[in-house]
Amino acid sequence: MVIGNLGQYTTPSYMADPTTGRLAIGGKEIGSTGTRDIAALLQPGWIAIAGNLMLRRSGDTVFLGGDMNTGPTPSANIVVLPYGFRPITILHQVCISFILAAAGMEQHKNQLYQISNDGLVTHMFAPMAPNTQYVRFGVTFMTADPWPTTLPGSLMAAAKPADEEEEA
Amino acid sequence: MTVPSVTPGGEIEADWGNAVATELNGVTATAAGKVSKSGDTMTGNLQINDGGLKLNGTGYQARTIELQNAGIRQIDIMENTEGGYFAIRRFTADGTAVVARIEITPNGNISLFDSTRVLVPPINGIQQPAQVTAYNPTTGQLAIGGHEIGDTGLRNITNLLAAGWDTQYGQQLTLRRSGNTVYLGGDINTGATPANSFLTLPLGFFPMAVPSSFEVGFMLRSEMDEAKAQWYRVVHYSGEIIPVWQPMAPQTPYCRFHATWLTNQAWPTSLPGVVMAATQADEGESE
Repeated sequence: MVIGNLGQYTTPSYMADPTTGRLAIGGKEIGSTGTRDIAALLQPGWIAIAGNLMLRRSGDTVFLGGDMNTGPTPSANIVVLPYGFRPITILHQVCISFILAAAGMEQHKNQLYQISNDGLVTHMFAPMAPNTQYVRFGVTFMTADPWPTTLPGSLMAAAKPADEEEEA
Repeated sequence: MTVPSVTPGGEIEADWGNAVATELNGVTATAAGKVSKSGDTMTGNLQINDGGLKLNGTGYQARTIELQNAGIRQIDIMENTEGGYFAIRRFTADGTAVVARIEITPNGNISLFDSTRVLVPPINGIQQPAQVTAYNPTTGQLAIGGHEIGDTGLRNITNLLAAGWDTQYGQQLTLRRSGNTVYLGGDINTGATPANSFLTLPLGFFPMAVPSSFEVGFMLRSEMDEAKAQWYRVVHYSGEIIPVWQPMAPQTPYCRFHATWLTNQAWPTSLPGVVMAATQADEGESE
């Protein structure tokens, strides 16, 4: 079996960086960042307890999910996704995956938010009302960004980077 | 001639001729000794202590090790008691620096690298071999370095629909896992008394764990009546798909949806439903 060609110096077929969870073979990203707690990246006026804003990239697929409250003056942007986690194009229909709810689960303060390809997670028509509790969503999308060189937030212990290790 | 004695720093200058076999049998060069002479054949082992084997010459096969005659032709590097790795190394012309190295580690891994032009680029100074860590063509599993990159193919899992739910005529409920990404989609309808949860996902397809209830959600909506639309979500710890607020009304046709999420479950040990022939070769076409 051919395992490599010392002449292919300029087109390495294999890239690995355990620090960021990167593994790329033949130009295809197949690694996993693990699940990151990025609550610290929330914009002013958005509040989440630790671990309640999660970001993960596996291969070229990104998951972003949150369970937050708004304060008296929430910013237009919920969060700005870091480089390496941005969608291919603006997700205008992110409403399909967003579940936004008010306290008591009786009145639904559904608002459409979008994730743009510059990483901004922002409302489309009207922002979520101030002092709204349990603003929840989970969305999965594709990215074309290069693999991040550093990982945002902190690793969540319950979902280690090598989620795949469970499969060993 | 007689077998010459060799002293440290000395050389054997044997005239091999016709009697080389007897002349060199049993010769052991001592520290820093050198054996140099061309010839035909010898039997037995040539043992060199604390020295190297240098092949000189400029002609055809002048610096070639050739394994001849019938039978197995191989060069064995026998494990010794000291462990460590075995390597074939290329040095600079003056012999001062390793240019490239092929290593066989004690656990059998083979790695290639090069101190200046790397085949396996070190990032943050760490190199890892890309190893296939799991492979199962029956389930579509392929993992490299612990990362799942396989594909179940698109599966028709209509048979898993709960009571009171059915697929629209000619349609299916479909499920696929590619790497750690799962796709679920369908065109379904409700009967008179639909179950609250229309599907419980099989193991290997659950969404990744989340600490609170912001599971993956999607809108299940009727193509026939836009007023009939309900949020559903996928419960990460049970695989159940349940309504967020209210269930879809009974007798609703053409309830369509699709959803994609990440999983961190182990690869399924068996695949649900049946493979859909039309999409079986998706992987080959896409690459």
